[in-house]
Amino acid sequence: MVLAIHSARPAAATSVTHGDHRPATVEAPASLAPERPSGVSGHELAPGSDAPNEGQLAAAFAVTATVLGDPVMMMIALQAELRNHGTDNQETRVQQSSDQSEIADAFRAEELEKAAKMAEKAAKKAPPWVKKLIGAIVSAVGAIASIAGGAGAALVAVGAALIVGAKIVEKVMMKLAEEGLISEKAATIVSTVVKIAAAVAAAVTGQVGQLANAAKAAADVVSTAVKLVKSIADMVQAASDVAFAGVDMHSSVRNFQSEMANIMAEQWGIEADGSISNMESAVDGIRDLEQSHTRMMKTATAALSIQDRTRMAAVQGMA
Amino acid sequence: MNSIITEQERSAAASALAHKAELAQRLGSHHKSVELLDAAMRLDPTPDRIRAWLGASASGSSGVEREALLEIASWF
Repeated sequence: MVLAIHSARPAAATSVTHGDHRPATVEAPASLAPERPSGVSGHELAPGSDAPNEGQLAAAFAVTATVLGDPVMMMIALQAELRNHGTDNQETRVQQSSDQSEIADAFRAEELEKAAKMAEKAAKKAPPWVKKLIGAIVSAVGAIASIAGGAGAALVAVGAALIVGAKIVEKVMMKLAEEGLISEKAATIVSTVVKIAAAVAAAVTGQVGQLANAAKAAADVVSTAVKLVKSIADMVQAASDVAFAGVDMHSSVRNFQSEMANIMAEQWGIEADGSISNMESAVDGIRDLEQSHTRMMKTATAALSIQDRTRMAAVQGMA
Repeated sequence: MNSIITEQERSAAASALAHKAELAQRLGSHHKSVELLDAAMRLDPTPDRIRAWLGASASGSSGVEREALLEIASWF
């Protein structure tokens, strides 16, 4: 249903921001996320963490990248916007659309509330390695969380995005491996970790169906965070900076980091540019149509006026 | 549609699948065994089940894929 994944409106974000659901406490990452250097504010990591190896870094960052948004969902959200712009502007349709949007917002807010509760429950029940993984991701998406409505929303997005974003992770990993930027082993590790994490995220809540709904809602929130398409590359870079902060990175990891950002930005850019272009065309078309309609109405009015005057003249002539 | 399966039911189903996986392995159907362990892991992703699935997957793999799967298994 299009409206269920309509790009997020303030109402949905507000309900998350001001909700009572505080972010679940998760253990600070010990192995998947690096130790944060002094002077870096925000989400704190456990001191004395062991430096992760390349595979672990790749796993942490791949999942982080997933959380930043699913391009397919972005595409759908943009298409929904396009459809909104492209529909006619009859008053009844506008009212109907508004009502449906409110229903969709309410549904989304409700699903996010449920998801926040499930995330808290899941964080308590999850095995230690999952807590570490979630902790690493939450740390890495701090910048996104502040935009999307707090760490609670980010935590929700984490579990849900693991489910909706597995394909893009695998795709990116395989491409990086093909280009020799990461090893095949690292690519396999990342894909496998995401698969396991998604299974755990779905199972520990005991609410597979609800989590699937939450995935849609959370992806919507993530899409909101990256709504300004041109800033996506910056956000990817910002998240990766946090994820890799304080790590004495090997050059191959640096290459991996920048290449990951490029690939993601490129893919999003192509899809988003197409959608924006279509949207702008649709808006232009509507504008032209309105102008044409206005001209037509003026002409019709003028014609009617002339017709009236002619009739009046005829009547006066007969009189 | 919401899942109404309980934890106990999931765990029981996963155990049954793991048992079938063992039988499949004995019958020489390694691929089927891995599939069943995969399903069991998704139903009840405890460290033991994840490790079992990874181990079975690794035994059917070679090279770097095998190394990767064994490394993840060592995390559990």
